[in-house]
Amino acid sequence: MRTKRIFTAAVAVVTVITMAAGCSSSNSSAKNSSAPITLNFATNLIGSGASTSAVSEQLIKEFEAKYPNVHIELQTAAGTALQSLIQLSFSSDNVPDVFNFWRPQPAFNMDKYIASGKLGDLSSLAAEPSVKDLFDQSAWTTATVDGKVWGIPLESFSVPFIVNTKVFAEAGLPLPTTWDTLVSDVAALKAKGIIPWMVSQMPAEQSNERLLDYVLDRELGNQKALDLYAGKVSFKSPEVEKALADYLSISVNAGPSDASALTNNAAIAKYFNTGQAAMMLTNSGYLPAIDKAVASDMKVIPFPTIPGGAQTTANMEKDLTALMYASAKGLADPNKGPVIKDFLKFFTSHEAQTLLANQSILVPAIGVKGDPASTSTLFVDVQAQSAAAPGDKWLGNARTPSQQQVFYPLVAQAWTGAFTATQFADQLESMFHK
Amino acid sequence: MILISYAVLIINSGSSLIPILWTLSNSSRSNTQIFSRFSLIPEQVSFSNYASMFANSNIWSSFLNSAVITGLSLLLLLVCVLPCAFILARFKFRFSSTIYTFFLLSIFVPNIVLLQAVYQLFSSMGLLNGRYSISLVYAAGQIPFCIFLMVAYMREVPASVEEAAIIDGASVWRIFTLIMVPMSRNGIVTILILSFVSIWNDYIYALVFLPQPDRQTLTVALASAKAEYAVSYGLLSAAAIMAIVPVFVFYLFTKNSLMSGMAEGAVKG
Amino acid sequence: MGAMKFRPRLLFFIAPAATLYTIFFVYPLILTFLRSFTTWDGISAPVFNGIANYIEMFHDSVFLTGIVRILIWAALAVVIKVGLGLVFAAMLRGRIRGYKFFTSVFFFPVVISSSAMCLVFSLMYDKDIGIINQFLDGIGLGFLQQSWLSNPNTAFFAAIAVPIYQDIGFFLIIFLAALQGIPNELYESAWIDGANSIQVFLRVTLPLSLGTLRVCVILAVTSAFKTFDYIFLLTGGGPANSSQVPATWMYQQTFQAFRYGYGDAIAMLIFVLSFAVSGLVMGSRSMGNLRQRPKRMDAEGATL
Repeated sequence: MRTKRIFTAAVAVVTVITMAAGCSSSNSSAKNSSAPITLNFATNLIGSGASTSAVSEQLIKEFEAKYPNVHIELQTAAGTALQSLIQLSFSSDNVPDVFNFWRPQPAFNMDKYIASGKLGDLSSLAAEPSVKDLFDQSAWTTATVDGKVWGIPLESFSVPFIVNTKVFAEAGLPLPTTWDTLVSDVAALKAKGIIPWMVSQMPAEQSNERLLDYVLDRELGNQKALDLYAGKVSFKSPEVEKALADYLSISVNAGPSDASALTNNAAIAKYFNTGQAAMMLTNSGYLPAIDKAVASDMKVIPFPTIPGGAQTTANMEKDLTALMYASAKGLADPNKGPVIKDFLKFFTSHEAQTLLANQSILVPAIGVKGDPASTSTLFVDVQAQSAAAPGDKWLGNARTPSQQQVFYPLVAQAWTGAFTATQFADQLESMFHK
Repeated sequence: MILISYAVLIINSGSSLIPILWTLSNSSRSNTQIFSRFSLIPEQVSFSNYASMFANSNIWSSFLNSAVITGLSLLLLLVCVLPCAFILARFKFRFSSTIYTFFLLSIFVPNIVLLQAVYQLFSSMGLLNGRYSISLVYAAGQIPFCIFLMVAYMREVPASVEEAAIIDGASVWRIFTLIMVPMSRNGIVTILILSFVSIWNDYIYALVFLPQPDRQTLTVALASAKAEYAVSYGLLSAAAIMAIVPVFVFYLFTKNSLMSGMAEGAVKG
Repeated sequence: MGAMKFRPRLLFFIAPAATLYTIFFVYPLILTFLRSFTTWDGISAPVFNGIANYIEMFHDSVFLTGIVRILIWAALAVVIKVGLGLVFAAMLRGRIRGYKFFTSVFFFPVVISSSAMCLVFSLMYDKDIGIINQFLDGIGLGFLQQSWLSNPNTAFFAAIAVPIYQDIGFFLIIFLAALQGIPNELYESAWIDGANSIQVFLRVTLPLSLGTLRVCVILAVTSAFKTFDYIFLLTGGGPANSSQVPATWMYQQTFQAFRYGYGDAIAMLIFVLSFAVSGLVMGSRSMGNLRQRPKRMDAEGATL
């Protein structure tokens, strides 16, 4: 009998612990504003080793010090895992009060989030002069969908063309400042056993299509390239096939053979920092991974225009890459709403942007440059070039998430020389052209 | 013949140990050393990688989280499975096969399949805030197979023992606790080990249900360390060793009872 | 079966398991099943579309090759995990010298976290400084060197090598236990009759562990069908979907392409397939005979 009581007690205790731990107190929508407030902040900026970690943690601490009754509760996911987290939260009405995310575009399922009504409309916050004047018009254009502002700009990106001058010098080759030089350089590098491109073929990294995008932009112009992926224009035309052929001529077998197993950071560490790869064309967010010791060997040059191509200027793909968002529920709450707005302002303020810039991150705030002492001359040059060059929209804006799943492995296959230009065009045509 | 046996056994021992030893060695080296020269013996014995990992990551705390969550899940599992298997194994009644099949059908369902539905369930039940509510899901997921095994084990206990107890006037509860449970010890050890491995290793549920840094489990912490520290094989090796060492120590102390627990009596199908 | 009489209030014993299982397993499973007949993006309302998802699945080449892959995986798992486990157990059965050492060492990988193992192996598979390529080079097989996880031809096998490798020790222990149950007299009489080791294995060890074998085969097969984490952490299904299995493909479709209905249909199919294959194994004639306990025999072969 005693054991039965112990057993029943055990069952009760165990279930109670798990359930009670489950329904533990979370935030409170307290009646008066000096009552403790908890903000849920979902982010991928913080996590072991992320270059934005220290900055974000510092900003959070400062904010909590300024607002003693506010506690910021973090939810972290590394890199693109944040997308799974946010997706789940929207599908179950659990949207975090504040979170950082990519642009409000269909490629990131943002159109569905906006349509659900659970995403907070930040138009009034964006109209405040201190916020509005901080960022230039192109940033606000990206942040606006259907006339409403959904996110406050946080980070920018561009896709700089970075070359290792030391590798080129030792190989006795000229820097690829023109298209013809680029083509001959790739061939010559391969012949000398140097890997032309540092690139990661891991689908989750979404970075192996940059070169293709640039070639398409140069030869067809940004708008037409976007139309291609949007399915409005056919891939099976002579000029598109020529562009693909040109692309394949400088990309086939021109990347590391184990690129599929390496993330961008790993590939940079393994091939670019060690001088085994000569060129890099990827998101500027990976600049911090370049070893400071060798950063002085690196130079950023404009990606060459292609003779006969529609683009005659050396445009760069650039845009906002991260914005700060809020949940509709949080904003509507009388106690939390103002705190959320203050937090968003704080996290995207001029000071905060400067801190980020010092970590070699491109920021959208006007006139913010990183301290060259903590970044590098390379970053300063990237900043300057990104600001000056005319901008192209990322071609992925026209692709749906479902298409992205298939697109990146396809591009990876093309890198291995699996397709001729015509076959590649066929594949893309069947994927995109309705 | 005996020589061949020994040779094979020694080779397999090597394959079991060398990966860990190589990783241990790498954890002591710097990245440039690792990339420039392959070696099983490190150039120096250095703990700087470990110091970095301690300072900059949450591997230790995530280990503790994993340990607590797994322990809680296993406890819940035992509380559910043992009485249930007892009834299904030792009693004949009208619905016993139906109930048994009801539990068994789901052995073939991969956990990943239910992620979205469980997440929504948690959300509507308000369980998402709980540190340990994930144990409920883990335990539920292990129930089908554990019932299958425990019923098999419990069926093997001879009826004579029960009969003697009944003659002595023991109640069903006493028979359960004082006879069946001790005599099924081997089965219990087996299901504990199987479930432990499954729960300890889970990645995707832990990633999604425990995103807060202080609540993360070991699997998730290691995976994100891999993403963030991809640049440094030395640090990654240190992270892997940090995850393995506590289990190793635990294993050293318990392996004898673990293996003898599984070794007495065969698994009956 | 036991000697006790059943009373309805004993159903309380089943209550905890039934409650937990129904709420957190059966209910989500039913939801998933129902959703597999819809198109859903996770946010807006689901749209009923009949069996369109299932039809699409049978035209989906990635899915179909994934099925082939898990069948291969299951076969390899059985042969290597269960087979080697049995062979090693047979070797260690006689409590030869070093028995404790070997058993401890072989079982150790089982308890290591899968993500730690994946981390270790992804370093081991590195093309340049990984121990595997270095080893091949060292024994003169340098031409076999690969970037194991990036080569579409080897990625899948390199990825499944990890869970297979990790689990051998588990099956070893199970078989060791089973073999202890075989009376020594049987082995002695076989030796006396002049059988060599292989014959002893085939005529004595194997037949008398068939019951255990059956359970282990089911374990290995279901594991191959269900396992998601290893492939996800090592290759993510790549390169070029060459290591994609239904479980990882289902994850991608649901959580990255946001096609929940389709992902759920894939999930249902994994369920049905595992069920069917395991049913085949469980129901097969030669195995069926062994539903009863292996008969005990005395030294002269008479049934006790």
